[in-house]
Amino acid sequence: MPLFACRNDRFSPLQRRSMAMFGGLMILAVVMLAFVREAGEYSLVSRPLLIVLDLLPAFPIMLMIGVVSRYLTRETDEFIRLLVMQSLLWAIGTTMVADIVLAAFFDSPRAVHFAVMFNIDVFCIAAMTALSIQLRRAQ
Amino acid sequence: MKNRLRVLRAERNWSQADLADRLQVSRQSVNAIETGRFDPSLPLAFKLAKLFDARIEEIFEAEPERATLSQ
Repeated sequence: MPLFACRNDRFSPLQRRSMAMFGGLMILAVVMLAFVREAGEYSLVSRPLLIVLDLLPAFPIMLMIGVVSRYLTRETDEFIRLLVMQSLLWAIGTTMVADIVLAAFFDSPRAVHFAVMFNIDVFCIAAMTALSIQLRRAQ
Repeated sequence: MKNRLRVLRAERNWSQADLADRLQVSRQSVNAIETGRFDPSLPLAFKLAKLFDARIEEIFEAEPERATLSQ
């Protein structure tokens, strides 16, 4: 969704650039998590290398946080900044609720990577949905 | 907080988008301020005052304080 939104002319260059970077990093994190999960499942790499690979998906997620904080710092429209902050809070809450629901169905340690992928997806979808609703309400 | 933004804008025959362009904010921001759903920061209030050549208190008016139980 952020990658499609970055082509929309209604957004400022800063918003388009931030959404493109956020979307790219999100896809990278999911691909890395999927790879690590498969590598662990089928013992494709040695144990020490697997630990290193396990840590790698943390970097795009930290960069995603950096992209959002950079956007919030540079956004000059205080009302839009407020809407983005509220949307992020909604997304955090939704992700926590989704985790509780997920934990009720999965209790295997192997589900950890799936849970992280699930978290990223739920967070992004919830944030974009909340932002769309808030922008529509502000029309 | 109440404000006279809609009146001042209408006097100049500006649309919300025109005012948003002049303030360098989104049209949603102007709409939210006009409808009282969002109170602007002091820098934005000063920008509005400068744009309309008025004092801040001529544009914005504080809501009367609600009566408390003791009163």
